[in-house]
Amino acid sequence: MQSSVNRSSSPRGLSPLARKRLGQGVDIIATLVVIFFVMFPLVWMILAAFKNEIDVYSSRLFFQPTLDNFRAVFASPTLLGSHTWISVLVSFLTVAITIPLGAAASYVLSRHRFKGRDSLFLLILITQFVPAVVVAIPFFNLFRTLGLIDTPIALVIVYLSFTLPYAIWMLRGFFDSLPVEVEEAAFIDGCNELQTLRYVTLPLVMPGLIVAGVFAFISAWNEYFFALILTKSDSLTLPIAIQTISGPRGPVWEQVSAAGIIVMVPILVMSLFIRKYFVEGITVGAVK
Amino acid sequence: MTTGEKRVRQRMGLALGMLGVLAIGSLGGAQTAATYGLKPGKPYDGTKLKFLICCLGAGQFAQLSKMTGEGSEFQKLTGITAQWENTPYEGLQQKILIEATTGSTYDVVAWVDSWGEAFKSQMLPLNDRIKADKINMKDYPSSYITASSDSAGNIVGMPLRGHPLVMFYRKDIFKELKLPVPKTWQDVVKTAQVIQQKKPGITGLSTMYGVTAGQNLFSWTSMLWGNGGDILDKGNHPVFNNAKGVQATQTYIDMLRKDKITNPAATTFGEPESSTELLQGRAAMWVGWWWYWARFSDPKAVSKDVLNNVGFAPAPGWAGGSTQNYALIWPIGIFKNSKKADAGWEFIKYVTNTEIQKRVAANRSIPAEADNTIVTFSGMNDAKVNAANGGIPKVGAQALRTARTLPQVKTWAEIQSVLEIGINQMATGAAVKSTLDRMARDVDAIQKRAGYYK
Amino acid sequence: MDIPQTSADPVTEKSVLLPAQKPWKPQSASLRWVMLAPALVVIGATILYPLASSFVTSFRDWRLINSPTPGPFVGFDNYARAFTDANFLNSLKVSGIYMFISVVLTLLIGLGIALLLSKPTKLNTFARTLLIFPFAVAPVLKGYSWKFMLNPEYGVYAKMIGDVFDPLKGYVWLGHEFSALVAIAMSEVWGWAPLFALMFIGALGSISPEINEAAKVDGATNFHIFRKITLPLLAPVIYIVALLKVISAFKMFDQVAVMTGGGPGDSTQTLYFHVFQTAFRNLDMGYASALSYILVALMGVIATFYVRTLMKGD
Repeated sequence: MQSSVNRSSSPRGLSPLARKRLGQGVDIIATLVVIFFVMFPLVWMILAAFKNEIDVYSSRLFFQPTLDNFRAVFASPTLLGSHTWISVLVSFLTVAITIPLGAAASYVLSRHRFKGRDSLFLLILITQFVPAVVVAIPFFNLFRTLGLIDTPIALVIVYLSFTLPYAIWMLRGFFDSLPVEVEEAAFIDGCNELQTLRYVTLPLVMPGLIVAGVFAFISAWNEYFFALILTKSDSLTLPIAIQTISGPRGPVWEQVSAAGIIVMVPILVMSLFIRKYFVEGITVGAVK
Repeated sequence: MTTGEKRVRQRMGLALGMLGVLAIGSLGGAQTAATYGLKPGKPYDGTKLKFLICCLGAGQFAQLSKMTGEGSEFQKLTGITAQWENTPYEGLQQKILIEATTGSTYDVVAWVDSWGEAFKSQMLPLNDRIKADKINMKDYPSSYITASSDSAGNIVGMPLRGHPLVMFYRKDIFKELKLPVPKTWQDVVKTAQVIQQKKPGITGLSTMYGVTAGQNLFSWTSMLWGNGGDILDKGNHPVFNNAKGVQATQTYIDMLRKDKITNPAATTFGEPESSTELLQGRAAMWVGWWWYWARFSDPKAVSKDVLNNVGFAPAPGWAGGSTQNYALIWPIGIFKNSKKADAGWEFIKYVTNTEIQKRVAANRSIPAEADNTIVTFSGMNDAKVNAANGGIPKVGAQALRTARTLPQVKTWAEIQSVLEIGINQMATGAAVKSTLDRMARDVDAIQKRAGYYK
Repeated sequence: MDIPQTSADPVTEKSVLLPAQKPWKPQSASLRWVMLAPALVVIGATILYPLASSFVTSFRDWRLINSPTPGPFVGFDNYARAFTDANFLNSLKVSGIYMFISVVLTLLIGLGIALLLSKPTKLNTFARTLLIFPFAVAPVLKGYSWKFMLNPEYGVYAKMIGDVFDPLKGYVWLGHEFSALVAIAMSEVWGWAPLFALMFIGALGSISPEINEAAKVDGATNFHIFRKITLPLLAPVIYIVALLKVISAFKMFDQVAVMTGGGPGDSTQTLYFHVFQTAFRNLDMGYASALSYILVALMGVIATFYVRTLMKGD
């Protein structure tokens, strides 16, 4: 498709070889433009994290790199270390609850036939459309009375409201895609359903569990809205803690960028890891 | 200056800074709890206080937080440590409101006066404690005390950090162009135009019209009051859209849109961006709180031509009108829900103590943490404090005798939001009169819903 | 291309709800409910409970600055107020415009990237791998990075644009109503468009080169081929992708909070941002609950479209 566009737009009177070369050149430039659009904001932020203040404000390309910004954000008053720990804790707890519960439910929704199954599944699917604010107001008031504001557990509870339905939806797809025959063979060999699940089905669906787990992790790790409402000081997660990096001149860009790397890099690595499933995961999960 | 010289200077600065720290350290050793009116014998030993606050970048807070944290003089004297919570300024008001209604994370809080009415009922009255510790409240500007009291007259906060609004200007530019320092906003406009004509590349006045926690109201309020207008009347009805209000607002908006004496990007500026204009030598005047004086003399923060060239004057008044001085106070108080109220009071006594405040205001050993802010008259007139801060504290004291603060209404968060958005809309092109009228209708509805009147 | 092949993919699957499947024999009814129950309890507690609670609150007068506990029932007052509240109506308008801008930009840029990278050269394969990165970046960081790059004094994008197009030198991108909304949209489009491009590339892969060649032989122009062959083939993907973007645009909050705080004026106060302000800044819980229920209704309309598409499977 692309090649034909270039061929016809290239000037007449050129030899076929020159035309081809020109077309390739245009193709390469086009790809480089795309790479620039996609990567530049990331690269620029990563560069800023290693810049001194003066280089940040001059948008210079060449500069003397420094690690001062990383030192600064891990020192007082930002203390990014403790916030990183909270983010790790909240995200892991969310995953640790989401995946077993989600796997159990989606297994049943995939393998069992019973009345109301599809309605139940549809209901779970629809819960993903419930706007976050509707969930936030009652939980804010409930946690207020229970004294749970500013605790990691409060965040985990509300995060389950979107990670669990999402994981169920995603995991059911994985269960559905497994051939039933293997499990039936195990069953005939004398395993009961639980044993079959334990020794046959679960190992087979493991990639799915990992993918769903990573997605749950990413959405908890990046979450901003609930964390803004439900945390105050002890349980600030990274996305909220970044906002405290402000000096007398507003956000301290070089430090925000350094903290940004801490937030970004684990997620980028994880998404690279599951990139085969990325598009599908979003299609299902972008609802929330 | 060659880089070698620079290095020597930096080293000297560092050495001086260390000396300063040593001096404080040795001074601290000689003090006892009684010096600051604290209880002897460490009755609250081991208590950890959580203090809800923002802006540890502000010098006074940076110093005080070090002086009350782990290993500090305060801890040695009382056994109490205070953890200063560095909330971003933009989020602090909301956070305090939520804390006041949700309870028990923090013990102590400091707030900007106008936010207070919404949660004063959740703050511990301090009158008995003030009386028992014989604290001289007459040493404070009366507007500071009024703003820190609830409607029944209970004092719920001690003044911690307060500012008169002042005007900063580039002494070198004014001298070079032989310009007098403007005394009215009308003169500010004219002066700014002259400067822009003769000094291309420099804007006359740096301003802030952005939507950032009500900061675009500062100059507006000063102009409104100078012209004899007001935001709310005695019955808490909006009156900022009357003829005087329209006139003052028109002048405020014209500075940006018609007279063009300010950076067009000011429509997104808050205080940080706006003060940076002066700091970096891109503007000749700036109207803001007096604590910026110390920042303008920090060699690491300001550009070379600005250093030691920033003068100050009282905030401008109104041509043919008056100068109504405008002040802002941060009271510090204790949440009723706190189980550490007594320890909290010890902390408050320490950080608001005149001797401590004087020590902070006079300490210039670390330029980034220098701060001329001080809340008592005796402190503002102290010789050492004035010597360290170019005499600005004395000038401030004069202004503060007659200063006003913003109104105390529990609906201020909502009103402020209407006002700052409206001002920002006018700054980006909305018509002044009709926008003010609409804003007044919105504020009127807010006041009615809150039950201020029917 | 790495387009995943499990059956939950609503783009390729006929129906996610009723997959063709053999009956599975070893079904224990008791095990069934034991395994379902924990998930259902959690979903009930984290979604159905707040939904019910918000619904009740939406009929009450409850301002936290007046009282820490809910006040009296006021019937439909809160809902009635919403429809005369200029600020809420404004946020409806803002969200509507925002949806339009961000959907159009995402589709155009996503389609553009897909066409540019559709040839399977080595460089393109490498470029495709990069496409997932922006999406994974936390929305807060997206907001920060674009705010930084669009700063009129030292922002690198602002400078580039100013260098290419002189009248825009020093333009305050976040200081004007429309450009602020576009800037927010761009921070989001930057994440979404590359992802959509991946989906488009997957769909384009199913067009055989022979069709194009045949069409060319018949004298079709490239534009003609695009319109008559490529676009119809992409249409179902475009439809589902547009729906996804509508949903995500409806929920825009993070970047508004980081980049503009709703300004200039109230021109970027999206629905989510407005309800957030009402609930957690003005602390008006009753009214905010009513507003959030209006969001539930609006979202319901979008959800119906989405679910129906999935059920039909095309």
